This record gives sequence, C-alpha cells and structure tokens, in this order.
Amino acid sequence: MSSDSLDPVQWRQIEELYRAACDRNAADRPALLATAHPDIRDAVKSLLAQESAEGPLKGIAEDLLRGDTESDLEGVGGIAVPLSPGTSLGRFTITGLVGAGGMGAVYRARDTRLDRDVAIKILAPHLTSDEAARRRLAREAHTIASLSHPNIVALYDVGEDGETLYLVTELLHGRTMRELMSAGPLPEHTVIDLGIQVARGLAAAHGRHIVHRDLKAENVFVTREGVVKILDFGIAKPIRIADSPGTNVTSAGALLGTAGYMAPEQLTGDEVDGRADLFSLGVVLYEAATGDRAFARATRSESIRAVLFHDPHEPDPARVSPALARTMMRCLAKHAAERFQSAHDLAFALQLVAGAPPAAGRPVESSTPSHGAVTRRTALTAGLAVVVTGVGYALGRVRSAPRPVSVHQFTFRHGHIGDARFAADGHTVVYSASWDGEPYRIYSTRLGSRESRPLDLAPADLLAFSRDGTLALSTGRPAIHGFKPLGTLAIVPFAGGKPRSVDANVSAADWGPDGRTMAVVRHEGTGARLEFPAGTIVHESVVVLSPRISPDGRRVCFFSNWGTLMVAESGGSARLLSDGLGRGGDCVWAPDGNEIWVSSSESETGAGATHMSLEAIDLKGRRRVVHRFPAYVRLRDIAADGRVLASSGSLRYSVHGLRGREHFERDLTVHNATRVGHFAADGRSVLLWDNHERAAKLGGALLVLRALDEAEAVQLGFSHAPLVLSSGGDWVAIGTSAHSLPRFVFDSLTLMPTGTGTPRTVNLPIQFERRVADPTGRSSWSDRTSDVSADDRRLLIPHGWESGRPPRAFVHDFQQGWTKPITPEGITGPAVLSPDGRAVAAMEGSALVVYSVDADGRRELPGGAESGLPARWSTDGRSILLVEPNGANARIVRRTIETGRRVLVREVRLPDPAGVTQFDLWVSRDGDAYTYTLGRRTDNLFLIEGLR
Amino acid sequence: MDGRHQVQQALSEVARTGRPALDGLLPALYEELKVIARRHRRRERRNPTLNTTDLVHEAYVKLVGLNRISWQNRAHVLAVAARAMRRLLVDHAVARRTLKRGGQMQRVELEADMRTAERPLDQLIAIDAQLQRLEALSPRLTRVVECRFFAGMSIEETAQALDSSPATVKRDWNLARAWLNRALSRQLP
Repeated sequence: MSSDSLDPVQWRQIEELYRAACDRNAADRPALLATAHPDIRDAVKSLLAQESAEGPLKGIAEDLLRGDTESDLEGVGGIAVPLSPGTSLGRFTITGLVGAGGMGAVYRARDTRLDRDVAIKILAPHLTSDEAARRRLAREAHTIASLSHPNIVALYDVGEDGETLYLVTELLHGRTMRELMSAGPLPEHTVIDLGIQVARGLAAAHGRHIVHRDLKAENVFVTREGVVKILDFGIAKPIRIADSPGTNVTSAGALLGTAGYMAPEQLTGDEVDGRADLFSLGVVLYEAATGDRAFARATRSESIRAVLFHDPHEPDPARVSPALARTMMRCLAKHAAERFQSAHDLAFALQLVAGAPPAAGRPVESSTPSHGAVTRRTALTAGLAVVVTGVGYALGRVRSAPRPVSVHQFTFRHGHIGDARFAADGHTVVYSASWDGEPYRIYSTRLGSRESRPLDLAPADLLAFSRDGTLALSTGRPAIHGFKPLGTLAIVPFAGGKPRSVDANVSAADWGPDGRTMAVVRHEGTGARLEFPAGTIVHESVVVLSPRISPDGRRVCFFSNWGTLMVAESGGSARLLSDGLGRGGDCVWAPDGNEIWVSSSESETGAGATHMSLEAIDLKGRRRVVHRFPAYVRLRDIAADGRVLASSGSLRYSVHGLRGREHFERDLTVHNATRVGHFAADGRSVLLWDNHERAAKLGGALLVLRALDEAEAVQLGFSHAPLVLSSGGDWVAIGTSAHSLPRFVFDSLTLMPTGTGTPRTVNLPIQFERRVADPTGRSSWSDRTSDVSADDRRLLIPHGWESGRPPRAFVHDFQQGWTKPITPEGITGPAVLSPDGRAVAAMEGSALVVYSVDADGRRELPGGAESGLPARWSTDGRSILLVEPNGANARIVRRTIETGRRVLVREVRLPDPAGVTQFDLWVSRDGDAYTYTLGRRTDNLFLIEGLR
Repeated sequence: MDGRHQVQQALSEVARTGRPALDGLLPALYEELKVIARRHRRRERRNPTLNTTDLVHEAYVKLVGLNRISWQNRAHVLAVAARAMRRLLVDHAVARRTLKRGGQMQRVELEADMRTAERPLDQLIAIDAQLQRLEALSPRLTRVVECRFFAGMSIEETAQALDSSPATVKRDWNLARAWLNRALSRQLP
C-alpha cells in the first residue's frame, strides 16, 4: 500500500494501530495486528520494521551547518534578486552584471554625473547587517579611497541606498590571477613582476595600517596593460581598532578570509599584521610559479591543518629558480617573525630575484605606474642562487633624507663563501668559496663583471690579501669544518707562484699594511691564541675569530668568542671593546681606523638568523647601527672609499634521523638552528637544542626531546650545553658553570628531569667543554660529547681538565660521587663509554684504545690505523661503532674489540653537499638507528654602496 | 519592516488570539536565522558544538529577548522557528544544488568540498518532499519532525513548543521517523 493513496482517515487508523502496537511487547503484537484491515496492518508492520533502523535522518541537518561538509549558506544570500540593467543607485545607472562572490555582487554602471563607467559592488548583507559594521566599512572605504596607489583598485565613492551599502570603484578590464593561472603556471618573470606589484600595493596599505586579510588569486586583478590591482580591501580592517570595546570587530574579523591562503596566526585568531598578507601573497606566488596550491587539501579543515603544521613542497628547481623559491618559501614561514618583515622587503627581494636593481634611495611604494611591466626584460641567470637581502632602515636614527644604498650581487652559485677581500685597487675582489660541495677554491673577479675566474691554485680557503698583492691561504681546511676551521697557513703572490706553507693549526690570519706583519690565530691544546705580530701572544681564549689589523698597522681587532669584540695593540695586551654584541663574529676596520664595523645577529653565530645588523663600534666602545638587513648577512671587507663587501644567504642547522628499516629519513628540526644534543642509546629519541633568534633572546637554546618515530616534541627548557640523555630517558644532563668561567666552559652538571621533578646540580672537580676536537682533522670540531652507561650511573666527559692541566677524558660516578681521569693528559676527542660503565674508548692518534675505568688498564684495538671516530659502544659490549666522515658521506663501521674485525654497517650520504659546514652523525647501540646534525650555509657575495 | 517589530506584532496577536501567528513570525524568524547561520558559519565553522538548536534559540533571543513573553508563547515561537529552520535549510540545499548544476555564482575554492556535501543536500531535499506529503496526512507529526529534526529540540522542548505531552511527542516522533525512513528508503539509493 502506497502512502500516496492514503487519506487522513486511513492514516488515523494507522496511527492508532501503530501506537497500540508500540505499547505492547513484540510477542503480543501479531495478535493485535491480526484484527486490523490488511492494508492498515501491512502499513503498520512496515512502520514497525523501521523502529530499529537508524535511517537517513540521522544528523543531516547538523552536518550541513558544520564546516567539514562546507555548507555554503552564502547561497542563501545569493538568492537575492539581482539588479537589472537600468536600475538606478543614486547617480549611478546599472548597465550589467560583472560577477558575484562572497563579498557581494559587482555590476558595471554609468556615473551619470561624471559621465564615466564605473564598477559598483553591492556588499552582501552579512557584511552590513548592523550599524557598527556599516560604519566600519564606510570608514575603511574612505581610508582605502585616500590610498590612491596604482596597484590598489581605486575607490571612488561609498553609497547607501536604503539598507544597501555599495562601493563605487574604477572599472577594470583584464583578468584575475585566478583566471590567468587557469591554463597552468605562469612564466617566472611574470610571477616576479606581479609579485612586486602586489607587494608595492600592500606596502602602501600597510603604511596606513590596513591589512587586507583575504588576499588570494581571485583578489589580484591584472589589467590588460599588465598592471596589478588589488581588489576587495573591503573586509580589511585597520591594524589597530579604535572602536569602543563593546563592538566585536576583532572577533568578527577573526575568520574572514579563505582557508589555504590565510596565515597561521590568522587561523588561530592571533594578532594579525601586514605579515599575514605576505603569507597570503606567498601562497598566490607559489601557485602562480608551480601551478600547485601550497596548502590546498580536500577539505577546509585539512587545509587549515596544512597551513598550521605542514611546510609546502620545495618547488621543482627545474621549473622555479632557487632565488624565487627561497623568496616564496620565506613568505610561507609559519612564524610571522621568520617572513619578510614588510612588504617593502619582499618587493625588494623580488627585484633582486628579477635582477632589476632597486630604485636607489626611492621609497618602493611610490613607484611609477608599471605599465608594460609584465614584459619587462628580466635577466635571470639560471644559476642565480641566494638573493635575500634588503635595504632596511636605520635604527633609532632620524635622518633628514634617506641615503641611497644600493646592493649588487656578483656571485651566483650554490654553496658558501669562505672569505672575501678587496684588492688595493678597490675594483678587484678575491674570494674563496665552496660551490656544489667541492673544496674551497680561490677566485677573483672584477666588480661590474658577472664573471669570476678561479686562480690556478690547489684547493685552499682565503685568510687575507695584502695591499701589495700577497694572499694568505688556509690549505687542507675541509669545507665541512664545523667550528674550528684548522688548516695550514700558506702564502702566495696573487700574480702566481707556488704557495709556501708557513704554519700549521691556524684558523685565521691577517696582513698588516706593510705586507709583512701578520696577526695569526693558532690552536694548541684547549684553546686558541692570537699572535700579533706572529710569535707574540696577545690573547688566549677558547675561540678567536676574525683578527683584522688596523689601517695604521698598530692594532688588531678580533672576536674572543662570539659577540665579544676586543682590540689589542701590537705586542701588547688585549682589551674588551664591546661585549654581548649581538652574537657577531666578523669585524673589519672602517677606512679611517676610528671605528670597527661588525655584523651581528641575535642568534648564536647567526644560525637561522633572518635579521642581521651592521654595527659600528668606536675605540671607546660606543655602538651605532649602520644598517639592518632582513637577512643573514656577514661583513667581509670594506674598501678605502667605504664600499662594503658582504655575503648574504642563510645559515641553517637541521637534524635528520632514521630508525630501523625505514626508507626515508625524518626531519626532526625544531626551528632552523637545531642540532643534536645527544642521541638515546636505544635510538628511539633524540635530545635536540635549537638556538634560533627567539630562543637566543630568551637566554639560551631551546632544549627539546623528540621521539624518532613520533611527531611529538617535548620542550624541556633552555640551555646551551646539552650533554646527555639518560639511558632510561628520565633525565637530561646539561653543563652549567659559575659565571666567572668563559662561555662554553663548565664545572658542574645539572640533571633536568624529562618529566616532573626538580633539577639537581652536581659540582665537579674539573672544568670541561661540551664540544671536542676531532683528531683526524676531517671534521675538525665534533659536536658529539658525553656518553652515559646503561644503568645511568656513570657519565663520560671526553674533554675536561684539572685547573692548569692539559685536557683529557673523565668519568663521573653519580652514586659514588667520584670523578676520575681516564685517558692520559692531552688525549681527548670523541670517546664512548661501555654500557656497563667500566671502559672508555678514545682515539690516541690514529689508534682506537680501550681504557679501563676501574683499573689502570689500556688496550689498543688490533687491526691497524683507525679512520673513524668512536660513536657508540655496542649493546653487547663486544664491539664499538665508529663513524668515518668523508665530506658529504659518512660510513658507520662496527669494530670487534677482541679481534679488531671491521664490518660496514651503513653508509649515510647527504643528497645535496653544497654549502654544508657541519655533518655530525650519531648512531644507536644496535647500529639500526642514526641521526645527524646538518649545518648548511649558502650565501653569495654582494657589494653594498652608500653605507656610512 | 524591521524583524523585531514584526515579531512583536505577531506576539501580540498570539496573546490576543491564543494561537501562533505564523504569517508574521515565519518570515521574521527566517531572516534572522539566515543572518545568524551565516555568521556562525563564517566565525565558528570549526565549532563542533554548533547545531540547529543553537541557531533557533539564538534567533529567538535576538528577536524576542529572553523575558519579554510568557513561557507558553515562547514555546510557540520556537515551534515556528523550527519551521523557519526547515525552510532555511531546504532553500539553502536547493540553492546549493542549483549552484552545482551550473548556477552563475562562482565559488571556485569550494569545489573540492562540494563532493561531500552533495549527498546530504539531496537527502535534505528528499526529506522535505516527504514531509510535504506527511503534512497532508498529519500536520501534527510534521510539526514534531520540524522541532526534533530541523531545530534539534529535545522531546520535552518539543512537547512544550507544541503544547503536547512528552509521551505523545515521543510516540509521534517514532511514528514520523518510521514513516519517513520507510518513504525515504524507497526513494533514496
């Protein structure tokens, strides 16, 4: 029986019978039903059969309203009757419909008074539903109207017609970027050009404290002439809301915008500024260049997750130049602080990518209308590498007129710069670089030319270039040199000849103006010593960086550790000039000899720095900021006329790891200055430390515990000196010290619980360092440090010393409280502790030696010279795992203690060896898991003119 | 006419006649729900607790205020709001389906999500069609479905709104649901 044939009378019968049946239990129902008319009975039976079924009614209405099915109630608003041609709105007459979207419908109209065609946007009612929103829109519209920028659509008027609010704008002919991209990715020069124009428009708006908040391909209009017009500033809100607290402008604005384009801070409802628009622009450019939406996913909520947590794929280098890729990826940084800090900076960086020099001294936003700009010739070099630098702004100084500062890039390769110097003529530059993972070589170039020529020399790094044309080189210095770039000092005339070796174990040197005197940093034992002149020690420290002799030859300036600038008279003693100087490590005398210029960053050695400053310090220690760069910049040299030689790019430390039979390494990086502090013996977790800019501001490196097979990371606290992660995983030891000791020298351990609990400090009768020197010289300075026994009772300190004595390895016993020397004095370097804590293995020259902790035992492993470094004692205690570093490759080898037998466990290769400065590999006891720190500096040389 | 004014008029009519004044209330509630739903969708789309009940109550509070009318009348208004909710959702579903089939509004960025939405849209429209048939047989059952299904009210709330008893509402709801499920399972794939 079909319900179509039912009438209300029959239905009432059905109802009554159904209810009666419901009131009885199932067993009594047949008897009840039997009394009814067959039609009624069948109907009731089929209804009763539905009782247990869930049916399609469940939850549909709710689903429709929820975000995950992306119910678009917009459609309801869209039902509003469209305005037909001929309709009048104030002095405007509608002549046609242009389009419709979330913001409302757009019509073409005629301004009858001014006799011109305009576009009219009727704002969707939800934008104007209450008086406060209308007022806000009207006010913003007026601000936008006052912007009058060629890259922002011109707003002529704001009108009201009853409840309808409408905007009158210039009528544009052309297409949106969405339409332009519909056929696929755009040519790179077009992407760059459009990007520059959008960035300029944004810069103008941000200058008036207006953030767009919904920048996307649909909102970037490109006229037929190739001029970008940013649309829909309508929902933008001023950065600071002046409204009374009663209006909820902020909350209403929180989720305006389009998922997949919105910056993470916008999605999470955090404070939003212009940098959010730069993120959105990054998404647009990424899509334009690659054809892929950086964060597009199947559903909105997945897109949101992608924006918040996933980095977009690096664009294919075959299709997108590394320079553009870098610039885009920088826009897409999750943290606003890691993006370009202003639309100006981005416009500038894009100009550099395009090879177009910026208009010197001219505010970027007041550019000439860029008609025909899409077809602008863009001299894009295929090998164009890192170009992220910019003209910033002088800090805290008011100047009457902006100074023209220009920046010219003149190397364009993938790798890093060793050092660079002007020749006395001021036009020739000599530099060393390690390109594409090759060893350092010396090159020379004439400024103004794009060509560099390699000098006819064996691989070497540049240390100094004298006025009369003699090079001081470091030979045998590996490109992957970590922190102590030791080599042999050699000198050779620029004109040609055979290098003459002068001194070993030298990390830095400089020539005096006479071309004979030298300042030399020599390494011996625990530290470095500065000799000036050579042979006369003027300073000793753990690290001495960047010695530079003054133009008059009487003084030398240098960094004693990062951030501590000192100066010493020839043959005299050193005095402190400025401490805590950011964390700079490069210094150069200004031509007049009255100031020392340094490049400094907030982060340790500039790792992960996105901002660096050029500062000048006079001989009384007074500081001034010469220039701020929105990039990682290192000062290399200053010419007699004040032109500056600098390198710019990035320095990044990342951590990767692999466990068991997995095929792909995991990226364990926390920020962009992450290093391995210690690798758990079982290979399950890794202690990481990250001293990126923000952590450095908070007073140290971030300590993070991370499992190799989980995304979870636990933040433990701050410390510069992670030593060891206990075998049980329940505590972490860090190095601590009284503040009278130099930085990075410690005399106590603090055990921090990884869970709840209070830290405990253990004072030691020795001083020690976290890092150890690599005696093989192939990695020069190893980041690998302490080790711990399986029962967590004993801790190995590979590089400690009793006051005034040479360094050696020590073992501390937590239970019995003693600290014992293990290796002979002078024997230090990477070392491992046996799982039972009763033996230590370390290198004595090229021999691997096992020392007994409890007795005076010493036993050299059979099997000849060792080419690796001890990395871990095996689980069964019978063999030792060693790492053999070899440039961008490393082999993990197992050596049996009893027989000396050698077995290759695994080989780890870096896919891209270019620019690598550090590659420190750690391995688990079973040899199945490994993790490594990868330091990569990629930079190129720039000439900066106009700095004073 | 201002929605609130409309509602006040309708409410005084309720007070005068003792019967819900559908004609005045329904359009006002419909408009209000639309505004609220749209705002919710924009602002709190990730809020998993958002449901139709909240919308109906919010519309009510917005239009009527909390203490303006008697409890009895409040229930009546809610019943009408449930009806408005039904209309809103169905209108929306129809509009959305039209969009999908070549309507002129361009919402490119939503395309990926529409796939998942299509089935519920069709179901909703089908339910509405069956409800129109049920209305001819039993308006009372239809009201129960509107309150329970479209406005997400509880049995007790529905009983108050429809001036009925919870026991009756429960039985009506079971019957209506059974009827709808049967009708829909014949029609839906």
